[in-house]
Amino acid sequence: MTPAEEKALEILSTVCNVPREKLVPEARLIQDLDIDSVVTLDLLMELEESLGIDIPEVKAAEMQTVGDVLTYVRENPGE
Amino acid sequence: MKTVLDLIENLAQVAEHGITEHDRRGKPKLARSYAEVVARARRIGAALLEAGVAPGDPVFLQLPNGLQLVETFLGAVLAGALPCCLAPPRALGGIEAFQQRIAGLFSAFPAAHLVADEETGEATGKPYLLPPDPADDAPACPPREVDPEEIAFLQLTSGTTQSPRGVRISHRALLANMNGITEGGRRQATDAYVSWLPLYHDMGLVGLMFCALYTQCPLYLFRPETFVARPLAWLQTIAGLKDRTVISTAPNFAYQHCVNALPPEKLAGLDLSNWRLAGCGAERVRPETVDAFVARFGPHGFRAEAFLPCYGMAEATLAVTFTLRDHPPLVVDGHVSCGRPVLDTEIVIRDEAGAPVPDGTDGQITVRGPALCSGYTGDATVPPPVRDGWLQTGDRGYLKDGELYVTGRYKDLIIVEGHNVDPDEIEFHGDQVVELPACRSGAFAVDVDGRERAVLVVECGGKETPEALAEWADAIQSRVASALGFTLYDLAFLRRGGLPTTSSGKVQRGKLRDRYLADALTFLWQQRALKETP
Repeated sequence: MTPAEEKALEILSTVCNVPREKLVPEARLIQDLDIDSVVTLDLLMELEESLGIDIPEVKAAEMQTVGDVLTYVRENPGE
Repeated sequence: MKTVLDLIENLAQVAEHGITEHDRRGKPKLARSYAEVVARARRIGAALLEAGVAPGDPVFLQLPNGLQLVETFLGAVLAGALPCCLAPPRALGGIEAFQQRIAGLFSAFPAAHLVADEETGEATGKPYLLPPDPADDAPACPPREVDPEEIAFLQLTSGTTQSPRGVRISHRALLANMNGITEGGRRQATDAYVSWLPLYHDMGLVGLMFCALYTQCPLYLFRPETFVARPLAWLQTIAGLKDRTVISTAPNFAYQHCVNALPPEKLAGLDLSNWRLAGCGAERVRPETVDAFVARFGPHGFRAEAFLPCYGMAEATLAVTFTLRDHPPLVVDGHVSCGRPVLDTEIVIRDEAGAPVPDGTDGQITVRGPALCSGYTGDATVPPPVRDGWLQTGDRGYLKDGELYVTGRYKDLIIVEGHNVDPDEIEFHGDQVVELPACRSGAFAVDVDGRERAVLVVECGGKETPEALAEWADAIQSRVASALGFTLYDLAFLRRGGLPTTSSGKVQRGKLRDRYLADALTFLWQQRALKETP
């Protein structure tokens, strides 16, 4: 796991208020973690700011699971 | 000023004010004077015509809140096309639903054009135009004459993915509504508009963006996601405009969000005394929210009389009522007054037979005036919203001392965070997953802790195991989450034939909701009950 993925997991856990052990790659963000639109946007903003990355709207719309988020931050390293 | 073209012509002279757009983090990114905005819009209009857009064609704009969107919108109006702003794909799983929505729009509006950036355009799988960015010496759109009755733009309203519905707004209606809103808001030369509302929402497009242009006041444009993730940035922007009086409007949920997300210790130094008009509309205004917001932000200079609950809908261009007053919002029997009708607009409350009812009696809110829409386009299955000159709002309320109190809804509509969701749109997913003959589903809204949420009740064969029903429920929730970006508050199954229907077999959602709330339905499986069992 890259440092960016570690950081992303930490952000997911804090922002979504979910213990780390529930953040399995196949967990679906909206449905399984039960996050609403406010938390969704907070999460994206936190990821962008903490990792120094930009997540375009379309990419954000393609993410469904914890694994999708981790893949994105791994493949799109920040500054 | 009779048309949007007159408005644009006047704006071309304004060099001292303009639009400042902000990036996603809320930092000022780009500013242009109105004179520059108009100059660019004229060149963009010409570029759209050059790209094959014909007068009368719908032009769907899939662009973020910013100068490019405003300029392209105005450019399309100048070209005689019908601009219409679209909501972006929903974050975390909304891509497929977005593709289906765009496909639905193209099949309902075959002459339509889509304007989007490359990434979004490619994701739609449909032909699209990049937003024109003509050079300074590019030709401008030729001037043209328009009749005020001509359609200026479209606003998408509830409808469904399969049958999108556009509201046709004429130049006359838009001008009349902007006049009504700015008069009701007692316009001042010192005003500035601060908006994070999306321009695909009538309140963002008409109530803030167009009213700023109409009054030639500065406009500070933010992305909606900036506000949702960082609500303090909204309040700080308002407070920072020390030499202006600020107009900023939002749905009820936004005020509640500020109360929930911003405890007193985060507000040190915040001074909101220049917030002159805090409009609140697009969903029911809740007395608890008004009180909580005033209690939290009153000590920071927010004046309760700046709070302006209002009522409106895209079918009336935007505002039906909008009155700034010298006292805090009136609350009667748990309902917040939405004020008096805007200029030249009448409200009559009617009973089921269409006859006017006396003051203080509940009935359907009907509206007459110069800002009503010119009808729907796209979905041919719905009746025209305006009949004999009166808009049938489908909302329930009463008038008392000339003020409107909205008490409920006759129409089946679910409003989640200021966005209208047609129950069909939710039921569709229930039907798609269950796929049994003669099994129907019914969706409706319930109030949960001061927020409106959706419930879906689905008929099933009756012999399914609880495990099978739980699997269906999971599949339905998953589809709803990716299509609409929220989960259902509750999802329940009952035996085929268990939903109340009319004699023609149409599900009676109101009756279903009443029975649900009275706990008078026999469910074979219910998600909420399971969740609540420890």
